[in-house]
Amino acid sequence: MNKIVSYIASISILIYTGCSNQDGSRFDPSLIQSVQLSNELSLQYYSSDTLSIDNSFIGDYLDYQTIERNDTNFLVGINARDHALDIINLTTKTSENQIYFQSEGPDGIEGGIDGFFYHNKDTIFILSIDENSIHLMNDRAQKIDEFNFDQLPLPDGFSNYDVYADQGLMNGPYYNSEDKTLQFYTYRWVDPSKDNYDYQAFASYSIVDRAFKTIYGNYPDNYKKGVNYSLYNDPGLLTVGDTSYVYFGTSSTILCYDNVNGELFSIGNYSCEHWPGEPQSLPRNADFQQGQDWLTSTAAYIFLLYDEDRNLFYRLMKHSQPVTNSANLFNPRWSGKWCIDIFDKSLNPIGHSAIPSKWALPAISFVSNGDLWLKNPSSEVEEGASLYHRMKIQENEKD
Amino acid sequence: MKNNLKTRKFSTFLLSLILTISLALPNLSYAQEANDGERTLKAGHCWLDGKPNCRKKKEGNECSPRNHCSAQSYITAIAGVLAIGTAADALTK
Repeated sequence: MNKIVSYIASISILIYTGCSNQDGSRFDPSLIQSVQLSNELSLQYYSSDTLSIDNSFIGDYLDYQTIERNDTNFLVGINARDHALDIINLTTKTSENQIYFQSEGPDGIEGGIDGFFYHNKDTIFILSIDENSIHLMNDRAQKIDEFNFDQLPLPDGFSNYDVYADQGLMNGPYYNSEDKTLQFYTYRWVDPSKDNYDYQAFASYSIVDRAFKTIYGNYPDNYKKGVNYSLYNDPGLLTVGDTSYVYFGTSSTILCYDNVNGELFSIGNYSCEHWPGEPQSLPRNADFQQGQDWLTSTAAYIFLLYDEDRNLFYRLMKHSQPVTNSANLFNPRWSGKWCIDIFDKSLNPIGHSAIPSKWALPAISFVSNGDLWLKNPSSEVEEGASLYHRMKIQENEKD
Repeated sequence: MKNNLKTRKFSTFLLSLILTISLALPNLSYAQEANDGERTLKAGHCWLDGKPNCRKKKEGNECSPRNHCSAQSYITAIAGVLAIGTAADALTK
């Protein structure tokens, strides 16, 4: 009988240690990088630029990507109204052309365009949540292939999900051209009151095998049953080659995954002095105004951007701010102070820059040709013109 | 001797049972969760400006048709608020 007891005890220990780390964390503490800021670089204002966008209705894009074609840089954005992708030349700063997609027929995208990845003129992926599909198109709006996920369970057996791309937040899809895989967010239709976030948010899907290769992207420990982080319930994703960087609005961690095998190989955990720590969750039944105020006042990591020309990452953080301003008007949620952490390829923090309040709207921002473009929210603008501030990296003088 | 054999058989059975249960547990929980979500359009608020929108989401009241956030309306709105804020700051200085 003693033997049985010892069997049960050892198996219980085995199961417990296999499911979580000793401190109950979802992550192995040995993967967390211990780093300090080395103040080598900063971002400096370089110029104010005006993009002339033909489509004055759109004005600015909420889902966009920068590309390089024949040594020229372009901004590509979703034009939901016209069921199209708009292409803006960042050298001439004018609209170049549009790719209008059909809504029906053999080349049709029947659902809305929710996300995209422009690899080259013959390889453009369009994600449609309505269809639970990713379409492979070319720049003549012809359909080359379609990948539907209705009947394809995730590798962990879960099947009630949609391929998803959050409007405004950056969470894919991305295309890894080397191993021909798509990296995207899978939105699991679980009851939010029961959701314990104990699963992986992203998938790697082979367009050759038409099968999932792996899933990855654990939620940080503060995402647990009952929490409500509003917009930041959804994760962010940045993919550079075989590495997928997973990040969250309410956490300073950046999780680095090998997107070929799904292995978590490093955790960046740097935060600057302005980060107040993980916010308190909204109540599950928060009303509209509570939600608005929480988003206005809460500090959050919004985007992680990659500068491929300089091999640098920029992480944009919105500071916490009061709900109302000195005139007792509600502060717009994105117009307070921001700051930018600058990381090298190994996620070592090598610089930090402050963005004053009201000067820029980094909730709309992108990197092109080594410059960081931040939306300029000034109202002194003609119809069809979109203002930006451009910032450049500069080496700091050594003491 | 027989008793020892019985005890060993029982412990092997118990061991397999525990292993089977521990392996099956995560799948059971996914299967339960899978039936809970509703894949419908829900009324929510645009991430940029908080205006009402209608997207496939887990929470909210059902709505139709699906709509998108507009950056343009947000830029126009905050430009107004920022201008008033700047004027108020100037008055208080």
